Amino acid sequence: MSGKKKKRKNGKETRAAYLFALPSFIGFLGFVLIPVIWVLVTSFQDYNLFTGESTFTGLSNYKEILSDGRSLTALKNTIWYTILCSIGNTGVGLILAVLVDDILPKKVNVFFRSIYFFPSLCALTFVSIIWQAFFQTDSGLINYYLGLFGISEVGWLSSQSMSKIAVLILDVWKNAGMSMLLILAGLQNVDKGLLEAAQIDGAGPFQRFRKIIVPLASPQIFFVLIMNVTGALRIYESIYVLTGGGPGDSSRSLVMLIAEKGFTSFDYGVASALSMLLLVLIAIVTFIQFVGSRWWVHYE
Amino acid sequence: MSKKIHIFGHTIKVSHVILAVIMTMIAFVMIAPFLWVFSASLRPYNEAIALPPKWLPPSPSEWNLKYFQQLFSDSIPFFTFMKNSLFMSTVITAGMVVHGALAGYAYAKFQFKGKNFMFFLMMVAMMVPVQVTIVSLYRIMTFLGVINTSWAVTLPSIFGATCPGLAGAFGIFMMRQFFLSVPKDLNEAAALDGAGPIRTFFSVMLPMAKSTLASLAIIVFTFSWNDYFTTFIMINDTEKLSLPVGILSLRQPFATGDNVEFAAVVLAVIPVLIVFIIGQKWIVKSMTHVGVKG
Repeated sequence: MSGKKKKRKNGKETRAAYLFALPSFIGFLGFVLIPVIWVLVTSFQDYNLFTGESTFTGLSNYKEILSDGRSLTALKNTIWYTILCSIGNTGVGLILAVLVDDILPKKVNVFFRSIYFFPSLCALTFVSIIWQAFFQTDSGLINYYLGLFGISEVGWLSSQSMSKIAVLILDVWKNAGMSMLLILAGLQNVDKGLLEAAQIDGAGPFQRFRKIIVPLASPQIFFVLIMNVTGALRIYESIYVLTGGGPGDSSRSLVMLIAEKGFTSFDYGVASALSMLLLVLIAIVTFIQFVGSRWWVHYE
Repeated sequence: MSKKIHIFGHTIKVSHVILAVIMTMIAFVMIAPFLWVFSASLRPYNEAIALPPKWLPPSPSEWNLKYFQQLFSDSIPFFTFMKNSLFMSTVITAGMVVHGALAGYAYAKFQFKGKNFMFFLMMVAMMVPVQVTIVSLYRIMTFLGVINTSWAVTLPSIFGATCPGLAGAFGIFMMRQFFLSVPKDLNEAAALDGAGPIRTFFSVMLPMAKSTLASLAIIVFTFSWNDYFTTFIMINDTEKLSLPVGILSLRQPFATGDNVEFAAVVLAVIPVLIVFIIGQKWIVKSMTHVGVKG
């Protein structure tokens, strides 16, 4: 009797479990898994826009992107952004987090935290419009202030060598506050007694930072680094507004090229091959970071 | 290091004063663009971009409201953009919170066949950004007949396809972490009272999860409010665009910002600022939450 009842209850629970888990799982199948597989398949095909037919062409799309100077430039730029934006965001975020952690009175810290974080809440599109005005060569205020220090005009958005740096500056200004807040969560777990003991033992602020704060907050720093790397790999809006990918292709990212190939020239095959390249990059980076973390991340 | 000065009867370390000055300078860099755009939006164009830059707005009697008036006129569908943004973000947030809570509960509290495999797949999905799948998503939305409507953006976004890292599968993970922390006794007590699993979820578990749900909602709403890429690809008609995409769609190719854009940026940032000032504690808390659980 009781066994039967238990069995019936289990059946009811299992039904409920599937009922609860299914909506998100179906959405995931339809909007993530199937699209990824379809991109993979399309990357081996040539799509004809007029007939809507796809023909299997093997690796030709991949050969095309590997022999195409524009794709390689976009790939190189994306790697450049990924390395510098993620180091910049995580580094500045860490410094900000230490500054606003608990050196000054709590009210002061809360105030500065909010201000540093505010840019992260605003849409990248909007702040890019402002920074575009700042970066102008002759009417921009950045060159004006540099000029006061005797530095000659920099073609932030108009020279091939500076366009990526302009994007980097905007990216760090916009996102460092977010990194700060996430790292702060880790710093708050650092035992303050340990820091005081180190201070009594004569450790200076930089030593305390390097030997105590960084190792103890490393899980959070690591998490933020992953987030920044995967974020930087998909960099798009800021470049689109600031430089439109130019001058030439000097600031164009992989995602900009995917959008262009896919939705301007409707070359789905090549766009899909580029998407797979992006996916492989993300997978490699995630893998390296997880393996690398074993050596330097200190888990409690 | 431990030199001290006296200000208004307080004893303050000199190093703290230096630190406060540095922090104030950084704070200025963080808010300067917003100060500038506010000041620029109230001036005629030539004056707005003239150097040296004017950080403070002109005195109210000299305010040039022409550009704001243009935004309120029929020539620019600013409020249509805003309405579209509000609609899309609300639908995405509501959808995400509902299925995230349901799935998070299922993965935390039930045993069922394929559970670990399903959960593993979802967590892998956190890695795949929309930029990778956009070509197929576009074709799927065309196939479903919803391309060029807000559903082409909201449907995939509800399931986190457009912002996987923070607002997608992550939401399920976050809810699962919460429900894992709820003691088992509560489920057993509810079962003894004769409540089935569905009633237990809605009348016992969900009310307890209020603050985690609020955190999730804030994160998802912010990210979908700011989303550019998906809307840019999926929607063509100007009157259906969201705020970030709509404002940029008004500019000529290779143009730089003009005063109407500056005014639009001001109007778009003000709601964010108000929400931030009111909900600051919540927002900071929910973002920190991401850091701890991640």
